[in-house]
Amino acid sequence: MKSAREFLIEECHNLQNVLEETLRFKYGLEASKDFFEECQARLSFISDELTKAADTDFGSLQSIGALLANLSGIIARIERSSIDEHSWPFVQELKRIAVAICTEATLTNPNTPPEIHVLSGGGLDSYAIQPELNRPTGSRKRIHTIVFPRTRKHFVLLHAILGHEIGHAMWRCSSHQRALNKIVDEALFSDSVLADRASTTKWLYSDAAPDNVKLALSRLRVSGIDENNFFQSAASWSAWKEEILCDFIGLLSFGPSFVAAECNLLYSLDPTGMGLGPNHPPVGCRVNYLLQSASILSHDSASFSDDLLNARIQNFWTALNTKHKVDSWFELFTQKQLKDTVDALSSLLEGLPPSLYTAPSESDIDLLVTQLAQITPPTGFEMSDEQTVICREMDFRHVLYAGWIIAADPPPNISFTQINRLCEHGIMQQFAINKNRAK
Amino acid sequence: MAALSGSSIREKLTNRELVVSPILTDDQIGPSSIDLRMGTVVLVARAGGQSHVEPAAYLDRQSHRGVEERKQKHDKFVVPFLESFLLHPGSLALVPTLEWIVMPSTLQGVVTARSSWAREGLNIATATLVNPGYHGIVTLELANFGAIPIRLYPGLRLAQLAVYDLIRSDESETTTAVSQFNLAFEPEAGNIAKGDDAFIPKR
Repeated sequence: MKSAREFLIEECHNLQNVLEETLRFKYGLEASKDFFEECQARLSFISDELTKAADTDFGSLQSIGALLANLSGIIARIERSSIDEHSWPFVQELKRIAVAICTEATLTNPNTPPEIHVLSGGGLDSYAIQPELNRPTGSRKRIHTIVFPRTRKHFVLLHAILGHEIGHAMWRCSSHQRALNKIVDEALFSDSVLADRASTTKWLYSDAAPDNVKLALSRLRVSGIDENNFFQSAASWSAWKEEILCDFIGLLSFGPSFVAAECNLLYSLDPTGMGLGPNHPPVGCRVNYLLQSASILSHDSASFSDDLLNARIQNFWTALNTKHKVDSWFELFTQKQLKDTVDALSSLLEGLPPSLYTAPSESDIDLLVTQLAQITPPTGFEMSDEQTVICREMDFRHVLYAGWIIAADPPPNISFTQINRLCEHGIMQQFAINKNRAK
Repeated sequence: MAALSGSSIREKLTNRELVVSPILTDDQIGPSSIDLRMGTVVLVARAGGQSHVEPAAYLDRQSHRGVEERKQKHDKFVVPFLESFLLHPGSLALVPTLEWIVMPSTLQGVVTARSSWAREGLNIATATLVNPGYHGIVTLELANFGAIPIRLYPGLRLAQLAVYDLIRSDESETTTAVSQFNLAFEPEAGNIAKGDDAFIPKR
């Protein structure tokens, strides 16, 4: 019978074989090389530690075994992430934001970017960024895993929801955690109904709560959950706080397309907007503060010289505002709290380019919307009045915004699926434009 | 039917009557054509996928066998920019153009190889018409007629599109009779049995 140490050494060899097998697939631009090298370095470290450990050093063997199991889990996932499983043009752009936000100091490099690993999952609610909370050693980078729903491979307009998930990575394992906590506590939560667990519970169980919420709470009461233990037994107050912060990160990093994606996805998962999840405040509340914050950021009040463009933008925001709950119970924050929060978070993200979303110029958004209306992928290419070629940079988030504007009033016979594919194609084409401009 | 000159092409592109997007450089528009670049997907026949092309297989679109035969006919490679694909002698690959085409009802496009590539043995095969009313990428059917493999990178200018005025446009017909490939984003196998099932014995 093998000793624990011998068994783990054998598992290291198995994992080495599995790691080499991963190179049968393509995972995106340059991704497989970085991923392979990071995993190889970790595996070498684990093998070395195992070689040095004594058979009777059970404490070391247990901790090395845990590192090996974690690495095995990460490597096994990559085979679900070949390049054709997800929208690689979108991922390339998303990585730029994730890297800017999650770069951190390690023992070997004060600016170590994380390794971003992408895979597809099942179900609409599979959108996630799974941050690696602990690095295996002080000198290694983290591996963050981004998950896309497989069925929505090409739905780049919905992928804007990942702005929220980037917030989780930023909150849980970046150097900005303390700054974020301060902003949420001081600018947003202080003096709000969510100031602490007690005030949140009071708001939840108030007479002003909608009937659907009261019904849900009465059902919980049957299971012994009431105002005295709601945040111990049914939900996590700190998780609600994190979710709210991540909504703001999503809004500020992706702009209007995040609001539209969140409204559409969340209401498809909870049509009443009043569900009480363990980790999330009610959808109706989230959509309300996002719409109000978008308004504070003037996203909904763009007034350009082109009347048709203004009408299209107005149409988009009017459609989105139908998701706003008029019942004041859904208003968690005052205008001042929202403004202070978006101002403070904007300042933070501004220092991490290209994380902060900036509004498009009239010429940019007009070009993108015009192209989409003509059933053409939106890019920074156009012909000048002098009939010469003009190619310019175009922020992929403006492509997404143009997609949502057109989706609110699409050309005849064009589906939401096709609008998404046009936008995805445009992001891919823009990649070629940028490459050619940079030569 | 007359071929459009470079200046006519520029005029139609500028007023968005004709869309070929994106054009990365001015010299992509020639005296009577527009160069087309290779896109980022390649379809090639899968080794061991099928013993022969069987029209009857295209009549069966639903069963496990029918779906499997269609899905396993080709290997699909996603080839991002700066990566490459090796086209071996005698093999056929379907690749999309980087450019998206919107052909108005008054025009028709014809795609041919660029002569510099043709001299290396690269042939852009047969089905080269871009019909009036078409929206989408153009699928290039690449064959290597040379004796050695050809390395292909997305973004390379492989083909050219000449555009012709139609003598009389049939706008109502072009909008209703769009091809099976309209609004294509990447290459796919066509349905070679479409409309001909009377002549194909059932399996």
